[in-house]
Amino acid sequence: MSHVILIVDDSETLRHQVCTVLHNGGFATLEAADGLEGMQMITERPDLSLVLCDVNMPRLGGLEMLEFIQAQGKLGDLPVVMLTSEGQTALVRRAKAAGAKGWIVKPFQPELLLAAVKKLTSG
Amino acid sequence: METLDYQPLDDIVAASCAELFVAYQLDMRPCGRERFPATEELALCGVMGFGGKRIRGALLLATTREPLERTNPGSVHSQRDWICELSNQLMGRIKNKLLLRGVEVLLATPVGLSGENLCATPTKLRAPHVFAAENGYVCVWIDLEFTDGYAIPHEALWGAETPVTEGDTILF
Repeated sequence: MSHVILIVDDSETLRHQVCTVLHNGGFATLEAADGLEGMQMITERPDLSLVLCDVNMPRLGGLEMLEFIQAQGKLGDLPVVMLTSEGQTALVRRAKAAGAKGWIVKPFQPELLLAAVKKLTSG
Repeated sequence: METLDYQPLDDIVAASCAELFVAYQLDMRPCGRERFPATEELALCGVMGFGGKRIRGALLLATTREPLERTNPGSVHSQRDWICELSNQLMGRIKNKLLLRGVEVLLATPVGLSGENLCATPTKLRAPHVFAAENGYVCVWIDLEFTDGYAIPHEALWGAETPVTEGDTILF
């Protein structure tokens, strides 16, 4: 059975680009357009294997989503990787403190993205 | 009247824009404002606001249709969405370069604009950066206000934060 990857990003185009890479790598995908949608899907979908999440989004940003889910104790072993245009180390540290497993700065390189997803879903 | 020094910012914007489009396999070269395309040729604009302790402003990215199509070939999604994402990534690059000079800004989320004869008139009458691609043009305006007496350093500061580079993947 394919691993299911949730992509949380307010850009439909970016989500499509990521989905294409992951589908070619044999993964199944789900999409959410902001942190609120992402939080709902994480809560409702125990079959998720990994979350790729943007930082700056309308309604609820990715870091705020991650911190909220972590505080609620709902993250469990689900790996979250931030996929963002931000490279600021203070934000990277904040994500790590909230339980994120990785940080990718856009534009992503397909082979590196796929390698990271494979590594984090292989355990 | 004090003349504000925009040169460091202009250098950052020009470099960031060229790097972004090269990352999407679109080579561009800066060209003079006289090559500025007729406003009816500019297909879409993406706008991003930003602010920090010492500066605040907005970035506007506008392109003719071809650079959008070349950087996102075969897309069935809206070009408005794509220029918003490009604006977001461009502002991310600019922010990273500002961090190296000790300037921190927070980014808003982008919005897209489309219309006929769109024409930006920044408050300081700042000229757009115009880039020519193989087919089409990319234009970037950035307008900002400084806190009194503040100027962006011309060089990276020793000890300033080194951000994660665009395209990098870090696993913790």
